[in-house]
Amino acid sequence: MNHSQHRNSVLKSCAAVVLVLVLSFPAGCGNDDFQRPIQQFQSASAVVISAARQSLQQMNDVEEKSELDRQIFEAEAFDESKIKAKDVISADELNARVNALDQLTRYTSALADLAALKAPAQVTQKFQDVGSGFKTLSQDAAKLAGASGGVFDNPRFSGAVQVAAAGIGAIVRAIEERKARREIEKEIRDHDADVNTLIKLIGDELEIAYQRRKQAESEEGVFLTNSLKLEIAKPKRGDPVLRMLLGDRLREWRNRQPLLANADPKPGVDAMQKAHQALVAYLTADRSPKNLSELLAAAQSFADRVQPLGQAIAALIGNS
Amino acid sequence: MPTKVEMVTQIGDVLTQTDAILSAPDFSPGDPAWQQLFALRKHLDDQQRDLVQEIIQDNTASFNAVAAQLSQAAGSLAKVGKDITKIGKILDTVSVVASLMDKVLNFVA
Repeated sequence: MNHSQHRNSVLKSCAAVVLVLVLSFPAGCGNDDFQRPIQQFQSASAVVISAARQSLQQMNDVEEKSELDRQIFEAEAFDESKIKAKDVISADELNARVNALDQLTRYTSALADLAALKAPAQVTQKFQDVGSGFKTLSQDAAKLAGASGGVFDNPRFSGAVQVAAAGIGAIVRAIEERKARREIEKEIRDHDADVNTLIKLIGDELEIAYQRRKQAESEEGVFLTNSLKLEIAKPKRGDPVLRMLLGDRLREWRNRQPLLANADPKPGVDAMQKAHQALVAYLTADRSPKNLSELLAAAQSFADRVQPLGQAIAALIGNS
Repeated sequence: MPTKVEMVTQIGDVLTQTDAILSAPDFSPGDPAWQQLFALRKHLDDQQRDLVQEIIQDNTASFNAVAAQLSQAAGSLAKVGKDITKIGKILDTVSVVASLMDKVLNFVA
């Protein structure tokens, strides 16, 4: 038997064992093939959540710094009110988005426990915690729905959270009531589009945050290069000390550019969504070797995708 | 047709290209064309912020027509590159992008 046949045979055996165990929903342990992608998913999700928090937390700083730079470059008097007017996100808006990502990760982790055949009591508890977390998130998001003036579409976010929370609530009830496996799977499958809508919405918002950061960085490059041009255009090519100071800032700005290119959280969220979808497909379809290998590939891709993101975000924190 | 987020990214690309032109060594703030392009840059930046904040009705034929024109204008700026000898063409193109963005912002729901 060659390696490929052997692996296929192992995968089929694993799938058969998983199918039997899930059918009876007993206490048990998962297989190694399955544990690895779940660990990868959880580690990679932690990076995405951290990156999301950083991206959103920096939004006001980015806009304020951009306005301050503009005032200085255009030789305007310092105006704090104009700077503060550029703030785009409140602490409540930020916390709701980060909490939503956290709850989505916990939900996927609970699905993984279900697929990995963890003890029923443990699985039920985990789903109940997720259901409760989504309920709180839903209440917090509803308070934001009427808020206006920020960068984000709060009514849309709130609506997506309410729908996802209702869907996850139905799944939690099905598990609490120990409904048949097929019914639980049906609930998971029926509400997965709602969960995916929420993941996509958060990914889009993070992309917007990243775009604004990119624009502010790009604009800073204009201010620095042109301040230097103006200095050099002065008699005797201006003040050498000032040129050196501008040069230092220009050097720091250049160093940030490669980091910034890797700091876009959206591809990480997209990979997170694909890994989640692969898990749901594995859990709710036929648990075939094909589904398992797709889950393995999606989790690996997710882990690979977030590695440069985590490094870039960490480096940018100390270099902004 | 582009989604709102894709349109925000498209405008971001135009801003980045405009900034590269404004930063070119042979193009200085003392040049009136530089000031004109810088003013357009600020306007486009404000429009991008507005686009982010507004809920746009993006499922109509008229929106799609404007979005297609915007994609075309943004693409033609990339073709001009950073050649300052073509500053007239650059200013025209960025002006077209800005005026199309004004139309996009009229599709507020």
